[in-house]
Amino acid sequence: MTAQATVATQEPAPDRLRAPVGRLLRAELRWIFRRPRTLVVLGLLTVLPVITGVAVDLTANGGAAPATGGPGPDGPGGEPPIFVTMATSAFVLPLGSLMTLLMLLLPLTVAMAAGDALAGEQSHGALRGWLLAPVARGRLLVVKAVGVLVVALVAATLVVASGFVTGLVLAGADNLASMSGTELSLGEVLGRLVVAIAWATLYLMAVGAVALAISASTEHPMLVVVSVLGGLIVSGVLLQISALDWLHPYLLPQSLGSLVDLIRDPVATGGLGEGAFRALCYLVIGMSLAYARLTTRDG
Amino acid sequence: MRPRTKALVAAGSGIAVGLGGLALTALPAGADDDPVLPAIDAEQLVTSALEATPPAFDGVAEVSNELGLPAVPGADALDFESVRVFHDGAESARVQVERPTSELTFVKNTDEAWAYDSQENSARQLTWDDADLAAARERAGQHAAKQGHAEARMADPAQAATEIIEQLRPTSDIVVDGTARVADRAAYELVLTPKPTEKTLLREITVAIDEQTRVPLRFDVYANGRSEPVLSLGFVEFEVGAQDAGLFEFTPPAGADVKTTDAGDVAQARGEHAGEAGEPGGPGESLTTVGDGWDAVLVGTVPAEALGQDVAGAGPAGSEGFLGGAGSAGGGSAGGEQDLAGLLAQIGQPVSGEFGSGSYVRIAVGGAIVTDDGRVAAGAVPQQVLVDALDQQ
Amino acid sequence: MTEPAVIAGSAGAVAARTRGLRKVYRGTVAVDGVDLEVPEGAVVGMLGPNGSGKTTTIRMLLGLVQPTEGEIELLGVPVPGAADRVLPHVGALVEGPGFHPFLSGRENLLRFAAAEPLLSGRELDGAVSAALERVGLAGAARKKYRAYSLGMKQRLGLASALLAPRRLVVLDEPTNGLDPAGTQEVRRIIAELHAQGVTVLVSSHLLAEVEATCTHVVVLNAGVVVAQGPLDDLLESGNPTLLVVTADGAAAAAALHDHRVTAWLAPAGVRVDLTGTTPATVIETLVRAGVRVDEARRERTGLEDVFARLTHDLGEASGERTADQPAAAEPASDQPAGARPAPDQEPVR
Repeated sequence: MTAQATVATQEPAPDRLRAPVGRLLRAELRWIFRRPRTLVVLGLLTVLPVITGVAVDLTANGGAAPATGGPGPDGPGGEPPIFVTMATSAFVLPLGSLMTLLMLLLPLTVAMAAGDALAGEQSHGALRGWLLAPVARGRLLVVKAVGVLVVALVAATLVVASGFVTGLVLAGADNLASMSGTELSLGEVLGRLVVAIAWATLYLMAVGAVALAISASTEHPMLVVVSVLGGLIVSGVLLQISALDWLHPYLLPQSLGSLVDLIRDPVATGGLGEGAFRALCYLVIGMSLAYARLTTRDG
Repeated sequence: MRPRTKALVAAGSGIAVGLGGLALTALPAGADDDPVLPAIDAEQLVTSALEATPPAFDGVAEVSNELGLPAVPGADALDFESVRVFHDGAESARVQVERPTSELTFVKNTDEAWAYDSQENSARQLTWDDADLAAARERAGQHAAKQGHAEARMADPAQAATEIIEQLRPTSDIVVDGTARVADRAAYELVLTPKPTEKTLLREITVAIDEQTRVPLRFDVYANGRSEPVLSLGFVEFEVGAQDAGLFEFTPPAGADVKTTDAGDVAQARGEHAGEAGEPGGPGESLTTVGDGWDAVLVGTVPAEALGQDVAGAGPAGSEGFLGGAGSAGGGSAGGEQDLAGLLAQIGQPVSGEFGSGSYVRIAVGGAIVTDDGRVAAGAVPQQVLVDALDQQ
Repeated sequence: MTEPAVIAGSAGAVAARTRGLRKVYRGTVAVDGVDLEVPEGAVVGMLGPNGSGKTTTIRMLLGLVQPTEGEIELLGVPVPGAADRVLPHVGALVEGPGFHPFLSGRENLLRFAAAEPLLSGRELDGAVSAALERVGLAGAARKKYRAYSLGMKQRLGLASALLAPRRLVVLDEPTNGLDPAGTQEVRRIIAELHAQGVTVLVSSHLLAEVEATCTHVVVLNAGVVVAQGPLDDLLESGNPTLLVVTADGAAAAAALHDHRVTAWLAPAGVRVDLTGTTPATVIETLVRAGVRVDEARRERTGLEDVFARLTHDLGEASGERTADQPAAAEPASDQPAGARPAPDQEPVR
């Protein structure tokens, strides 16, 4: 009430008044991580590596070990996923889980966050609240993008951490071998897992930027998720068509395979670097489209 | 309308930058013009290539394969993404064949060689002492870089070059045909073209030899009637520099299935390996060559262990020396683990002649006939030449 | 609260002004040539039937929508060009409240308060509590928004407009969904703001509401301003009428019509336009026509009649729209924007 008394004596503000970005970010993050479905999906992402690890562990110990050559049960051309051989190690399980989940579930998580960030807010009419405060649209986009980035980072970290812990429990800390047959120290493994998280976050942010661009153009958050899902599926199909290999470098999921290079020793950085660069390109495209759409859209 | 203009500029420039970046990844180095290098004739080039000690380097090689290999289980040995090669400039080398979700690692140093397959978590070790060394060098070539092999055979490079060229000259034209940029390095293109009299399906074979180090960087095989190479094996990255000694040591991971063999038992081990596959005898032991030069046909009683390897081997003998370790690694890993008879029925076409009857399998650069009584003839030649070779036997 | 605050700016200053404002949505003209003036310190009621362009005008005023043509000045600065300089001083409730159902009322407000430039970090909690208190939601602050009644939701929206000290408060249909007590509450708040010298712009379809709270009125119809000015002037400008109480209204209307006097049926008889005639003539005419006149009295024109007449005339002119019954609620406003049934005249975005 006392604040109200000062109302009219206040001079017109000298110039641009802004709420501190830090405060906006805190508010945004609190909102993201209070949202029930965010929590449900993050929980699911945490549980999946555990399930994978336990399932593989049971299969490997229960059934006959499929180690010794010969025509395996997996039929011609069916290369078993890396899981089968070393899956339960605290090194391979987190990376394997990350790679598998990066195909669909993690991008969809990020798409969901991006969909809620603009389209969802708009559909609730809540975006207006910030626009009227006012939060300039450029800054709004920055805050929203950081929110999506944090979701990507947290999701990737949860997957890796959960896989790592499961691996430690199932296989202990001393069975940390790379695909090249070298043993790695716990420190090296942790270093590589951090690189994997960073890389996955960048990849997811590329998806997130495109999702934000879609999110800025619609009021239906589900449409964002569906579009991203469709894009991933179409890309996946196109990547299978070798006649279109000229197109493949333009497709984001092309980078996914390079994450496996982190299990090689020494790490082959070429593919990871190219993947990171490709993600960066998508990020630039997505964010500039989102900016263009958000600044011209009616609030 | 100002915000709209601003938005359009932002969107336009963002998309331009992003797409430009993507295009960069799509068009790797190689779009540059061919480098200008001092002229050199073929003999000098081959001599210098043989003289040069390979430097310490690391590189990434890739294979592009348009051979039209039938979809047989053995053929997926060529289904790898890339091969990483590390060489210390002397005895030691490390070759990693990267497949989408697994890796084959070959490590060779002064007194042992390792082969590790991550898919099966199994390691094979080969050890030798000084006495075994010479023999080991001959035989371990299958899992180690081939350079050692070539060195051993060609004591005097100049002499060897002359010999090779003399050997090839009756059947081939050998020229240095311009330059190329391979793995972002300047290289000479050595081109071998069959003489018109040769009855081969091959058009030419080119070898790109690095101008600085004289290391062969790329090996391309062209077939008649095709502008793109049917088989291309070459470095996409190649960097000269000292390598970490740790790369050439190998300790199998705990839990790996390790088999150790002494060099003296190599021959026996090979027998076992072949035995596993249910085929009598080892490869290369019962092969004879009919004809020479480009239309040479390999005839033997062993079913082709890997069709790609046989075809490559059917080229001029000298080209074998240029093949990087990667090529032999890729080919050598193809285990003959298939039911050949059933397979041939699927992919082959029946053929008969004086020799009896069998199946003919054709690929882009040649073909093979497997007779019903287990003989096989293969070469980079038309079907009739294979039949003739079998008939001669 | 007790001391009337000094009104900022010189007398006769204008809090909001538009010139030739026009907005076209995909070929549909929503607002056309609107010249609006909101005097500082005034409580301006914006009246108009559904689809008359009220909300679109407000959204353009607040910089949410880019006008197709025209200029806007808000508290002395051009909008949307310099909107970020002036919007901190403007509180607004537009198109119903927009909140997240899984957060409590308080958390929702805190989220918006975080974006208020005029509030420092330490003031946030206090400002939210004060705003909740002010709209009578202090007791339900910790309840999830999803559990709020329509009236509570509306109050929370009002609270969000009052989070920071304001110079101008824009309320789009603030009493929508409120019970009579809530409506009283809103009136009280508007009166309070007015007492503090805050300019208030209220859009409403409830004429009684506007008549009770506003000092100025703007009437919009079909995207065009049909009248604006101080409430008193507007009431005076209405033609004087005579209410004739009679049992036979139809006969009375017919008789007057024969004598070219304008009259409408009223519940108790007829209401007669006194333009160009006098009460004596009217009564004489009726008596001669054999209509029994029970009672006749001059009436001050209610805002309702002004509104009805203005929009009625225009509606007849355009051949499609007759005056909306003012008491009829706008059902669309009760729903979240996303689920709004396609409005025929006033596109939402």
